[in-house]
Amino acid sequence: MTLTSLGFVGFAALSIILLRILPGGGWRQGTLLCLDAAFLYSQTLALLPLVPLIGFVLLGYVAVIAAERRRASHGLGLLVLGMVAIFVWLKRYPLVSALPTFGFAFTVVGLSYMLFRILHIVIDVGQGSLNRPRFVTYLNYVFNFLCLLSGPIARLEDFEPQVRVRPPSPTWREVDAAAQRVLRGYVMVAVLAAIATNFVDLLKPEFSAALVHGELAHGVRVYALLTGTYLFNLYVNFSGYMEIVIGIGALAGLTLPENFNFPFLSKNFLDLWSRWHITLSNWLKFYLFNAVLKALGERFGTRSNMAYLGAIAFFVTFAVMGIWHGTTYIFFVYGVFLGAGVTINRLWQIWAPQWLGKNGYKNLQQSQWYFQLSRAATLSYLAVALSSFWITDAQAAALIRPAGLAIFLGGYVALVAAGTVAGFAWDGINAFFRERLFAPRASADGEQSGGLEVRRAGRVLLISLLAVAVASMVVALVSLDLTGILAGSSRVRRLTMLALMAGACAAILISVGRIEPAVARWRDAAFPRHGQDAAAIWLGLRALLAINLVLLMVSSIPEFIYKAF
Amino acid sequence: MLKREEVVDRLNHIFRDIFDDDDICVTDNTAAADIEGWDSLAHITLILGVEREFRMKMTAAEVGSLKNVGQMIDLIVARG
Repeated sequence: MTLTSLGFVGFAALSIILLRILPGGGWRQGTLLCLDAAFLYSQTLALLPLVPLIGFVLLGYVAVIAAERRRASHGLGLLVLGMVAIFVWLKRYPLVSALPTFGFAFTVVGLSYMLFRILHIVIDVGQGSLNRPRFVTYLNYVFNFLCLLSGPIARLEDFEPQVRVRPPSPTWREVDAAAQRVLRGYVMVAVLAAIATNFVDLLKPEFSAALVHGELAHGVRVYALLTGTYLFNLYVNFSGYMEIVIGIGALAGLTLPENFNFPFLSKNFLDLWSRWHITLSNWLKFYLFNAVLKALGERFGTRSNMAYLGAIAFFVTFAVMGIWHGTTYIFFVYGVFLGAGVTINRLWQIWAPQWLGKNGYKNLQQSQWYFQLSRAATLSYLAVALSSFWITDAQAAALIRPAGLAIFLGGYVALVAAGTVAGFAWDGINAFFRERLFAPRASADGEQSGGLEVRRAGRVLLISLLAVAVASMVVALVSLDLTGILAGSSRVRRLTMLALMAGACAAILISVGRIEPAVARWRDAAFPRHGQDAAAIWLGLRALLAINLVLLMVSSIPEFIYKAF
Repeated sequence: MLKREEVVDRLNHIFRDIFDDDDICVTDNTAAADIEGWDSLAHITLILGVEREFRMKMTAAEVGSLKNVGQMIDLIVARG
């Protein structure tokens, strides 16, 4: 079952109730195991295709036991290599695709994440940093239904106590906050990602056509728009999924690690990886980057060359990350491309202070222009790298020809330029909202009276809702005519419409961000003594909104968007 | 068994050398955010320096999870 299906909503509700009412210990472990099994089974609706996956996880436990027995010897490296080799074989990477597998079709859903969870336990148990988990804990950790499809990759020492002991009951406020996250996640996945997917699907044939005909200017525009939209799509899809599972986890008493931290605020390409898919970055840092750099440093390290060894370690880490994402050669290209990105970033950090002097470099970093340009270059680089996820072989082949390469490079430059302008505009609009429109006015004694506070929060709420409504209508109108805009109309009209669309989307995003805190402020000011009851009231209202959303989800997604507008 | 004061002394030496700043005086609460240039690369340079100085090996989990200098000292004292 997918996360946006009605079945999953029911399943999640059942999980929350069971995990909250049943006691800790064996009950909790057993319930979780049943839930994990049911969710896993729902992926295939047959037992046989799951056999290799389950076999892999069982073998993983054998490796954990072996690691425990032969601590800190060379055996550990062999165990890790063995698990990786079986993973490569099961995933049918091109190098080993000639090897026979099984006589039946099987699933590898979640296998990449399982590999990293298992290796973490094997290595840490082997090095003596972790005690071998009980078998049932191991299964619950590796198969956890919330993290099965796309992570996050928790660490066992954080996860283990939560599956053993039932946490104390949450307050209304905590329930409210968790419910908010789930709702926000569904809005991101079911609404924003659905809109972006429509966009991407509209633009893909345009891009193919531009490549075939070698239309440079048109190709550059479409490519920039396509990669930019794809990045946005991936972000709302992926981080929306995280909001849903982290929220459900919090409701069920399972704290999952955060996986995103405002990636669109990244200062540079290295910074991006502490904000995007954080648990994957951390895993790679723990077990690959640190290990590679330590090994290089022990053998060849000197005071002056550590920075360059670091660049090599970054490159290796990102190449592996690319290959981990998928089995075709294009994912190797993706990894190499990202590796090149971090290496360039790293070399810039070494060389820039040498050219500009330490203070000159510091001053440059303080400049608003530098930040906006660096951020746009970073996000655009990621957007272009992500082409690997959707590009067809024919399109990739065209990119090697001069016209194709020009479209590719031109698209990047256009995206950086647009990103810089958009960054300035976005921060400017945000500052206007924050400092002018919604700025709290200080009263004479510095304290604000309750009534004034209520009225102010109410005003923020009203303006935000109004902005969302108007902007949504603009988006809807432009969307309905998008095919027409891209195909026939004049350039000025097309650009105007796109600018209008971008502005409207920005207004929606900012305003939606204002609504929650405004509601919270209004609630706290209006019901100062009944905070808990008020939270319950708001929870009720949210439940109504959620039911609406679920009802809408029953119909197919495109219809849902149509109705949403 | 090493004394904490002695460990701090020797750590200060390593820190000053790696971050090229003679004014560094680490405490238990000193963390990556407090020292300019303490990034993932400097972290490993530091770990290598500590491993050499105190003739010890740290595990992957230890290298990755160190939150501050205090934890580093605990680790060194426990091994020494």
